[in-house]
Amino acid sequence: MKTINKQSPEIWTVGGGKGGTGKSFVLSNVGNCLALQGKRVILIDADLGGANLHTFLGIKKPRISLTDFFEKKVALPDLVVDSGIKNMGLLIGAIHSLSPDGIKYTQKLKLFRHIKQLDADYVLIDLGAGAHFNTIDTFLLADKMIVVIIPEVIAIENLYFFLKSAFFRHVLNSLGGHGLRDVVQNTWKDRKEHGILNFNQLIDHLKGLSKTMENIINTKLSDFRAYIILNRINSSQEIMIGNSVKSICKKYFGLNSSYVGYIEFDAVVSRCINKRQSYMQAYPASRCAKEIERLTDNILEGRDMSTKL
Amino acid sequence: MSSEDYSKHLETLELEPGASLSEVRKAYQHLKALYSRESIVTVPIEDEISPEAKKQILRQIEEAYKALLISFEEEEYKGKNEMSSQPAMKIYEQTSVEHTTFTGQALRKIREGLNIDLQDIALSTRVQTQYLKDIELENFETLPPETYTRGFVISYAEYLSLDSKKVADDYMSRYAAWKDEHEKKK
Repeated sequence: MKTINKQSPEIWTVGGGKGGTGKSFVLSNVGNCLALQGKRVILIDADLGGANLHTFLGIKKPRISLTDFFEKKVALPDLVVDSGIKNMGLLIGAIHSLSPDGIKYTQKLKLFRHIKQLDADYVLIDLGAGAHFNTIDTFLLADKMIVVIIPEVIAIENLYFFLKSAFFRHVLNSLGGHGLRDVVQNTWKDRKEHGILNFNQLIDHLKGLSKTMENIINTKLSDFRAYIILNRINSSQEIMIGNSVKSICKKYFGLNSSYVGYIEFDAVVSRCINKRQSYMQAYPASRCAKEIERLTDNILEGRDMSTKL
Repeated sequence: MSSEDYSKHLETLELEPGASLSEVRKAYQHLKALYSRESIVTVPIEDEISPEAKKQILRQIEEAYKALLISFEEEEYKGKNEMSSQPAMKIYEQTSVEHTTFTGQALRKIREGLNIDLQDIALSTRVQTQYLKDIELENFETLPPETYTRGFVISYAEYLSLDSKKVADDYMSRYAAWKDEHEKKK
């Protein structure tokens, strides 16, 4: 997941399973924060089913999209349009495509390669909802994987599923070269025979298969880290939900994460979206804006938010 | 405690090296509640983990907390020999053992000795800060009816890791006396 070439941009992806948790809102505003700091940012809307990042920025739907990259072989940098915000460009997904799963594996690899060659400091990719392997592979492409949740049980449930799927895929992707890919898939297929009921037992079982497998899984566990953002909280008590989710991920699944920050509920947000205004531009002094600035810094530094209240 | 154990315990409580006593306490309270109660964070994954494994997590949390408290105490001793610094833990241990009467003032002293803010307690117990203040000041007239006040005192005492029944029984005896007096006046 590390970028080797120093020239290539740092890639952040935003996912999290459930729709409606505010992924696009968070991503567009985090991008805005980075741009305000003078960093060159490109936002990519990879929500191949329903690209709508432009709405959060208050601009019209661009005429060009990733479809042109796939179908007309237009170079990726030529598809980046002005986001209306200084230092920030926008590249939107295939809004006219009715089959979001329609990209071939080879096409996907090509896209990833071109994303890494974009001329920018940061490339922020907005993923759609769900845990389809296409979504997850894009998620794993990141130098920093960000997940957005809200304090609701379904969002949290989906997050666990999303992270487990992502880690599973992360392991699978790296096993191809070792000829062990089938082992993992077969183990999961025959899980009943092995007495495997959950994620933890699967990991334990795989680790027990061979020393090589154990090493691979341990390495993958140590370089997997999700950055958790808790969006739309209604009270200060809910702040701790982020700490709780982080704790569960570690103690139940062995997965590392950082809780980088929360964003309060603000009724103005949906008003902004409906009026096609950029929130950060319209309300730069609001509490939400400050919270977004703080969590952006925490992601940049790769640290948890300060828990001192 | 070896530095290896120290790191392990801090990791269990999900703290960074150099965490303060109040941070250790807060983390412990949070994790204990998280792994012993149901919440929106734990409900989705109930089938992911066996009750034994869950108990094991709780055991590790308890173990880490106890070990870290001891290490704080030891440090306090060392500090005391070098210079007479504020003896926080030592006083707490003594008071909790020796005290049989838990007046509002005594509770406050224990709390301050532990360097805990009322806000911390309010956040964790969901008892309003004003009521916690009233408990410490024994402002019985502004405290809610008996059953509620008892509940608040229990939450308060639990946060300080005191024997909550002992504290509540003692505290409520004075509340009851005041109530009798108050009703006679009427």
